[in-house]
Amino acid sequence: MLKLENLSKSFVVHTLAGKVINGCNQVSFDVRPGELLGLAGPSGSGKSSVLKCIYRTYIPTSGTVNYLSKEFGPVDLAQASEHTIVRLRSREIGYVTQFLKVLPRVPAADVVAEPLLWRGVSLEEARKRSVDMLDRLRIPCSLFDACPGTFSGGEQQRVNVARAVIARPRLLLLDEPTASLDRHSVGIIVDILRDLKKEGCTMIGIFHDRNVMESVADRTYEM
Amino acid sequence: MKPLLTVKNLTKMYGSGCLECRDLADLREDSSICPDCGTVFACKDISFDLFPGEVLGVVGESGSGKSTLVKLLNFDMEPSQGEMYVYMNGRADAPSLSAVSVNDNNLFSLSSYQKRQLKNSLWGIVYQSPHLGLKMDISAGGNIAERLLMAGWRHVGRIRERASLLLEKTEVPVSRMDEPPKNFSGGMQQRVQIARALSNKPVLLLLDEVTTGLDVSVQARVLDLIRNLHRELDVSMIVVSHDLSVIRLLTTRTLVLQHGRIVESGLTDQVLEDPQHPYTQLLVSSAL
Repeated sequence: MLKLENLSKSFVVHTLAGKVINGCNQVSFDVRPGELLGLAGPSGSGKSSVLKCIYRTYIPTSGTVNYLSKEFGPVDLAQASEHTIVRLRSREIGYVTQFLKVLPRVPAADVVAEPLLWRGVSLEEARKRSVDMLDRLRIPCSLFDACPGTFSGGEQQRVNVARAVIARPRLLLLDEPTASLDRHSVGIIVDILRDLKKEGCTMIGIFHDRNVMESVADRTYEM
Repeated sequence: MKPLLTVKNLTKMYGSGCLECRDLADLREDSSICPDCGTVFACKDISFDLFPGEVLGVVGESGSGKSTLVKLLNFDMEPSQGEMYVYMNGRADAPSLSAVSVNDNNLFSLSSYQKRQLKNSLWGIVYQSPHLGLKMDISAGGNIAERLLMAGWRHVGRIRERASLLLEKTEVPVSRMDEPPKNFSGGMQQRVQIARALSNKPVLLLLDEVTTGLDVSVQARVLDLIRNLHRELDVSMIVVSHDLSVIRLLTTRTLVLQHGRIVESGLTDQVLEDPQHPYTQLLVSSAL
């Protein structure tokens, strides 16, 4: 489903007179369909950078990111056109960022409904499913029409996960989805990930908690 | 899928040009003026694609060529060089253009009449100052009606109905439809401009610094309106702004202009999080 070969990312910081900062170096692994690969390693080793290179938030410096797309067939995400990436992001590839990117004034229920709207689901149906998802993640219903900018870290994290999983992506990238969560909430997320696995979703996840990672991941890649 | 709009090598220069600046792939990095002949390149070699339903951001400092680009796209001025093609992709609701056959024709080579027809049927533009996009002395409804008349509408009842619908959509009280925009607040004037721009169901909406100068709460309301309209109407947009947070909020892809040239282009999140060009890095690090 996804194969990385010698992926490297370094940053040339012109505002620091061209200083080069390394993100990740020569990362290679593959992920089979329906598998959950855990990415492990110390802080600063480049785990988030790998996910961002796959999602194309970062442009890889070298290496290939071969993804088997339902719509386009085999695609090297590192070289694909912007239009292709936009399409893949809206249809096939989901991403749980490390921190929720808050859009001002957009209520939590709408944040979570949006990926469904982009897939052509009606407003009512999308809202209904979004509310069900938020409920499942134990977000109090009084917060459904509040902007997540004011939520606690753990609540923001749960909205973030809801937003990424609701549209059932084929490939899901997870950057610390259980950070800031209490044991009960972690359990709910783990259940959701297991359900996604059963439905055939392929996933790559960074988990700071080794125990959680080992309970969901099929294999691990050490940075 | 073919792009809705393809622009190639769009150039606007003031001056005659010379051998040095015509052939040089890159003028001096820090200027838009040719050192030999003094020709000013307001836009040089601008090329990009815009797909249906996409929002393209154009960001750059004052004098980078952003507004010139919009004026060229809107046929408000003639380019020195360049081609523009629009491809309708068989959209069922695309306004019909009996006078112009658009596919495969370089739009800049059309006659003025044809350009006006095209502009009135396919494009919509919202300027930074409502005074540029509205006639302040005729009613809000009249401003919208004027545009519909230019696009070929003739039935007064239907024109009025559409005007009311649009004002409602842009949150302008329909009861004030017959008042002139000079009586409205800045934010409301801007929203009337948006209503007018959308009246003919354009496939492309050009937004030139539409929230610059508005109070934050008013700016927020206009931006939210644009986001919602984009989703509901599936219209492609080109959003020009020097404000990165507007770009971040509204756009999927971004062009960064400096001295009339595109120095970087990419997915908006990539341009903001992994800027490659020194100027983009400076811009991103300067955001408050």
